[in-house]
Amino acid sequence: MWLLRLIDNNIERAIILVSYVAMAGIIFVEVIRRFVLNEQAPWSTTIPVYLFLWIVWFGCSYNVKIRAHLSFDEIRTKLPRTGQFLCLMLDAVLWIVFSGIVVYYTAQQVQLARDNFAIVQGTDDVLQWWFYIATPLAFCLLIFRVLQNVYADVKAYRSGAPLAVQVGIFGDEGSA
Amino acid sequence: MDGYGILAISAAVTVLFILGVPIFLVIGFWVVGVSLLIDFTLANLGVTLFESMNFFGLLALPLFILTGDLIKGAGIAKRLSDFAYSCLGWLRGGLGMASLGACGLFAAISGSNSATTATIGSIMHPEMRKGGYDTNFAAATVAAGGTVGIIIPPSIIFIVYGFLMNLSISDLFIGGLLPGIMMILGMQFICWVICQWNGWGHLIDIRLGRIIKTGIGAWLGFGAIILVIWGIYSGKFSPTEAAGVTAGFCAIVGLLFFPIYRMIHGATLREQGIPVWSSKVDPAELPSEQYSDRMGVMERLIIPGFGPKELPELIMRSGQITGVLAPLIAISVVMQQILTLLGAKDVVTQFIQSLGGYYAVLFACMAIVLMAGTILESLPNTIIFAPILAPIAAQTGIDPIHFAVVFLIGDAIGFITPPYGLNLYVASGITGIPYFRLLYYTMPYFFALMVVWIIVAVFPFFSKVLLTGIAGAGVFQQ
Repeated sequence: MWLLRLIDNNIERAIILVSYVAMAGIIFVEVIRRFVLNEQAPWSTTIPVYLFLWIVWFGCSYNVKIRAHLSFDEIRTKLPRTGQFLCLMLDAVLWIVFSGIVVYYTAQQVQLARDNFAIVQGTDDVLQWWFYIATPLAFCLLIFRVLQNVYADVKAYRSGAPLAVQVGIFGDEGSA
Repeated sequence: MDGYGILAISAAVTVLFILGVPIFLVIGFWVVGVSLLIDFTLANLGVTLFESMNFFGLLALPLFILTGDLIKGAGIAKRLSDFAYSCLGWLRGGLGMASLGACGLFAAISGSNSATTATIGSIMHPEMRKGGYDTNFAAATVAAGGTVGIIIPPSIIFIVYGFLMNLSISDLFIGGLLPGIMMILGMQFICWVICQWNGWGHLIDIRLGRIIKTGIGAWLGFGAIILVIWGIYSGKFSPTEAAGVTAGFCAIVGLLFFPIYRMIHGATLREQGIPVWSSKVDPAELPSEQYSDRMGVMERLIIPGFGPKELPELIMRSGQITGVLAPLIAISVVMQQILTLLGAKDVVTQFIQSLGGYYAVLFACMAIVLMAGTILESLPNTIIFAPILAPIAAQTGIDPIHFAVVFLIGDAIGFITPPYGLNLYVASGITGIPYFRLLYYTMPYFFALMVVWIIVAVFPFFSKVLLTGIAGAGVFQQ
């Protein structure tokens, strides 16, 4: 159980941190190498781009989890409680439908890249689909995050706790 | 027949927007709806979500966001603010003008408007309140000051614009530098007038020694600015590489200085009840150094830095912002493709070209950007309208770099225009002042920015002079 909770709390975090550090690190080290040793790995401009996919789509899922996607919330925050609750449910349905579409069509692309043994430019044996698969995986996780939010919202609505209608654009910046 | 269908879909997603559905989904459902209506394959969505990200230049976006977060985490945003105040504190309204100046300096490290407002706002808004300024005015100042975040290079929107329109990102950065400084000066002038009128702020005397000392204290900030501008201007780095090098440099320096700062200032920190080795301390809460003249140059060279535990938090914050912005880019590219397919470009081209000459086209494009910017977030605004408007402008003989700068200043002004003005949200979030009241206090700055915008648009000199030198810029290009 504690293992599940650990994964639940940290999965996006771990993926984003590893990909971000790898992406920035490769670019940093390779530019320095070019300056000092006059050499640069051919994959140093391609692998970081593919790592970026992992950051972007798991970041997208992370923002669903912490409810930080940009939106116009001036009207929503002034609606009566039931209206707010219905808006949250509307968000959830839209996220799930859209994610379903994205998972279906991006999975096709992953399959295509896999069938063709498409290789990352500048490498000999790094396959593109290892990186492409980030998108469908992240949107599956996103659907799971939406369901978690729905559970929390229904619980809050029933118990009379305040509903999470205000977006926190920069996470904890508000308290600074 | 399709026309009515598309109108209906557009109306439906507008309702979603008003109800507060995330913008990513609003655009996403427009794309899905119209694709189904015109029988365009949704497989395109699957392809574009990969391909729109597959560009090395775009990596400058996450890397410049990271650089901004590292600079803030290392306590440099505060020191840049101190420096700006020591330069401008002798004027009435000096703290307000310093806030705007600090926005300009931070914008030269970070690439984003809202991050500039959030960072400088959280430091300068409390200072301005303490300094006797009206709290609403103080919040409006940082909201408006943040708009230069995407004009003063590096800028994430210039990166996206260059990526879309196949222009050199380095050229765009250089083109934006002077107009960005003009925006700051224009807003500082308004700030000075308002503060003079109301008698806000108390004056400190100007001392060269203090300016130099506070400047030295912010050396990492200036180092980052110089590294980026030198690297790009001399052609040594591409913008992405410049971002990577600067981020790496700031990360190493920040980590190195963390223990040194704690050892030197340990006693002072303990006196003030701040846990010495905790990395949870916000650099803005560290003891204020700005007026303490007893602090020597060597001590000022030591920056607060960040601990190894804090670094992942800083990276996560960048990851979160990237996770908001990059999906918007991807989905807006899909929307732009469908608009092209629908022939939207021809309709707009016909309309604008019927208006006539150079200035008519220029001002029509500016009006479209400004109006679209009131509702759209800046990235979708750029991605949707730049590919439509830029070719028209080019046909009319408007220089592409000049047009890009004009287009993006309009886009930046959209950050403080209702109903959707992101900087107003951010400033409202960090200060607790209601959105609509903030809007009212931002109006003078809005007019200042409009004046600067029109000047920059009419005289291509300002966007071109750094690129081509005085001779090549040509004041009038008609």
